[in-house]
Amino acid sequence: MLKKVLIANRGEIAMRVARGCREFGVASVAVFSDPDAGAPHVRTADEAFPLGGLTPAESYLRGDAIIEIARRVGADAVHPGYGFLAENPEFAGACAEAGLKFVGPTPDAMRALGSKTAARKRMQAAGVPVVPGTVDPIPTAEQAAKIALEIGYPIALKAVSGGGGKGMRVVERPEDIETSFRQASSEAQASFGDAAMYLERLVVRPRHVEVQILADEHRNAVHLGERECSIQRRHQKLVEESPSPVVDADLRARMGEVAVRAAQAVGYTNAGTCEFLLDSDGSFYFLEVNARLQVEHPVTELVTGIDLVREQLRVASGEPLGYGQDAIVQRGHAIECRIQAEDAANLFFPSTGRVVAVHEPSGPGIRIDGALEAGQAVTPYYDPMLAKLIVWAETRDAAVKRMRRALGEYLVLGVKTTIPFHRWLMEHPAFVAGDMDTGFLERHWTPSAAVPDDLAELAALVAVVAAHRSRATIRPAAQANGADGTEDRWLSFARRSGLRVP
Amino acid sequence: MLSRRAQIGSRCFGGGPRDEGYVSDTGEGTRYQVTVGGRVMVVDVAERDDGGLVAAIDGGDEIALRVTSGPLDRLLTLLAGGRSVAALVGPSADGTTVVVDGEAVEVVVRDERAVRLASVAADGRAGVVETSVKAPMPGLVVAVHVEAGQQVAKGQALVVLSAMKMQNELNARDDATVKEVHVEAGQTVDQGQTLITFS
Repeated sequence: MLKKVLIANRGEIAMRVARGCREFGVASVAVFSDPDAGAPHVRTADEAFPLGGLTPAESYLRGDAIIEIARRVGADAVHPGYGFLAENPEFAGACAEAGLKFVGPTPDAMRALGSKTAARKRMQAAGVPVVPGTVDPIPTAEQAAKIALEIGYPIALKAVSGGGGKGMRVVERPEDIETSFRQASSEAQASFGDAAMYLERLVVRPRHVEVQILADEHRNAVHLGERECSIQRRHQKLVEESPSPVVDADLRARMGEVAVRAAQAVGYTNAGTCEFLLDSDGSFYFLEVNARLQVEHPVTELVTGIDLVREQLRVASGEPLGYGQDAIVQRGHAIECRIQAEDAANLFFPSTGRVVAVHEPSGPGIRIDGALEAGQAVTPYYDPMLAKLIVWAETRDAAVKRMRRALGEYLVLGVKTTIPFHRWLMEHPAFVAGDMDTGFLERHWTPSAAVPDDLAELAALVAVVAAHRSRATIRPAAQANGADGTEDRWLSFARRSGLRVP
Repeated sequence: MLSRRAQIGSRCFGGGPRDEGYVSDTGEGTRYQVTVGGRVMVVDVAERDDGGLVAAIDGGDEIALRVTSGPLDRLLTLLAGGRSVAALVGPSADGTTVVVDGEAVEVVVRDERAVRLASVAADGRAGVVETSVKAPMPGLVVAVHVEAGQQVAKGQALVVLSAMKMQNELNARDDATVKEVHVEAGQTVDQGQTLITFS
C-alpha cells in the first residue's frame, strides 16, 4: 500500500492526481518551477517543494532533482502525470533504483512502446493490425521518396521518437516528399534529439479512436471502451468523447480485444491507451500505445464510473484489479472540450498574458479539470491548455446540448481562449450528426474575426453600462445617491476596484 | 427559433414589455461613441428615476438596462430589455474587453469629450503611419523568409516564430515592401517586439 506519492507534473493533471491521492488516502507531494510558485497545483497537494528553473528543461524535466526531493520527503511513489517525464523509461528506471514505485508501466514496457518502429514490429508479431508502411527508420530523403512511391500517396512521415503529432508530416504529392522529409527530420532532431523518421500510408479520412486499458501486475487486463478524438488541429486533440458515435458493441469488443492484446504483448501494467485509426469501412489500425494517463481520461471515467487515478494507485500498490471485462459497462455519453489559451479565429495563435477574471460553468453533469484562476499568468513555457470542460448526459444529443449550455456560461477575461471555437463546433451540423474524421477542422473551420451585429450591440451595451457606472461613482455622493447623501463605502470600493474602464 | 442573442439587437428590440416606472430622461442623457470590430455606434444613455438606465443604439429603439449585480470580480450582470446578460468586463490595451455569450469582444467606449480629443490628436499624427509586424507572443525566431527591400504579397510567409511548442507562421496582411528586418533566426523575442517594418 502506497503512503506518499510525489507528483512530477504541474497544472490540471497534477491537481487531478493530488485529488485522487486525497480520496484514496495517500499523501501527495507537489513540485514546482519558479513561474509556478503560486500555481494552483502547489496548493492542491499536501506538501510542495520548489524545483527552481524557468523552462521545463530546468524544472519538470529534471528527473534527478525530482527523485532527490521524493527521497528527502519520504515519498514511496512517483506519479508522472502526462507529458514531461511520463513516458521516459530512464526516469522510470531511476525511480525504481531509488526505491520509488513509478505509477505507470515498467521501463521495459515503455521502451518496447517508445520507439514507434519497435512497437510496430512487436504489434505485427502479436497479430495487431497496422497501417502499411516501413518498420525501420529511413536514412535519406531519396529513399523516403522511393518507398513512398511503392506504398502510394498520400503518406505520413513520422518521427521515430515523436508523438502527439510532433514531428509528423503529411505528404500529398511526390514532388514534396524530399523537402518534407528534411524539414520533419530536422524538427525531430530539435524536439527529441533524434532525427530518425519512418513513413506510412495515410488512411484517408480516418477517425482517431483510442481504447483505454487497465492492467494490473497479476496479468489481469481489461479495456474501458473507446474515446473518439477526431477533432484535432495539427494532430493535437481539441475535443474528445466517449463512446464514439460510430463504434457499436461488436466493433468495441474487437478493438478492445486487440488493445488488451497489444498491452499484453509488451507486458504492460497500469493505465494506458491504445490509439487506432478507424477507417470508414470499419477496419482499424494500431497507431501507438500511450504509456500514461491521457489528457482525455475523464470522458472514460464519466461513462464507466471508474476512477482511473484511483485504479492507477491501486495497481501501483500491487493490488489485483478484482474485476473482469464483464464488470465494465458504459452508460450515457461524455464530451470533453480542451479550453486552450489560443485565438482560434487567428490560426489558433497562442495567447499569453494574465487571466484577469474567470466565471466557470456549474450545475448538472459538468466537470471542470483545470488550473485556471484569476491572476494566473499564461506563459509561453508550458502547454496552452487552461482547463478541460467535461460534460456527461444520458445521450450524445443531450451531452452536446449540455456542452453548449456550459460553454455559454464559461467566461474568461484576460487571454483569448478556444471557447468560441467550441461553441461553433457544438452547433456544426456535421459534428452534431457525429460525422467527423481527423480532417474535420481543415475542411470545416472557417474562422472569422468579424463580430456579428447582434454580438457587437450586446458588447457595446455592456461596455457602455460599465463606463457609465464608473463615471457615476466619481460624482459627488449627494448627487449620485439622492437625498440620503451617503453611499455605502464598501459598495463604492467594490465598484471602483472591480471595474476600471478607461 | 431565434437565438437569444438575436433578440437583443436594437432592430429586434422593443417588442417586450417595458419595466414599470419607466421615465424618458433624454434631457440628461450622455452620448457615447462605441467602436466594436470596425463598426462605430452612437449609444445614448439616460438615467431613470428608479436607478436603471435606458439606452438607444444609433438612434434606434430605447432599451431598458438594469444592473442586477456587480461589478464584483469584474462580473457584471444586467437585464437588457428583459434579457439576462452575464459579462466579464476589463480594460485592454486599446479599450475594454467584454466577455459575453462565450466570446471576448474588444470595445472602445468614448464619451463626447474623448471623441473630440481623439480627433485633435489624429490630426496631428496624420500621414506618419508606418506598418510593422510585431511578435504576437514571446518566442524564438525559427526562420526569416524575407529581406529588406523585398516586395511581399498578401498572405506571404514572413517569419516563423516558435512558442508554446508550436511553430507559427507570421504572414503579410497586405501587399507591401519590406523596409527593414529587425530580427534573425535563432533570436528570442518578447511579445510586442517589432520584427519587420514596411515602407
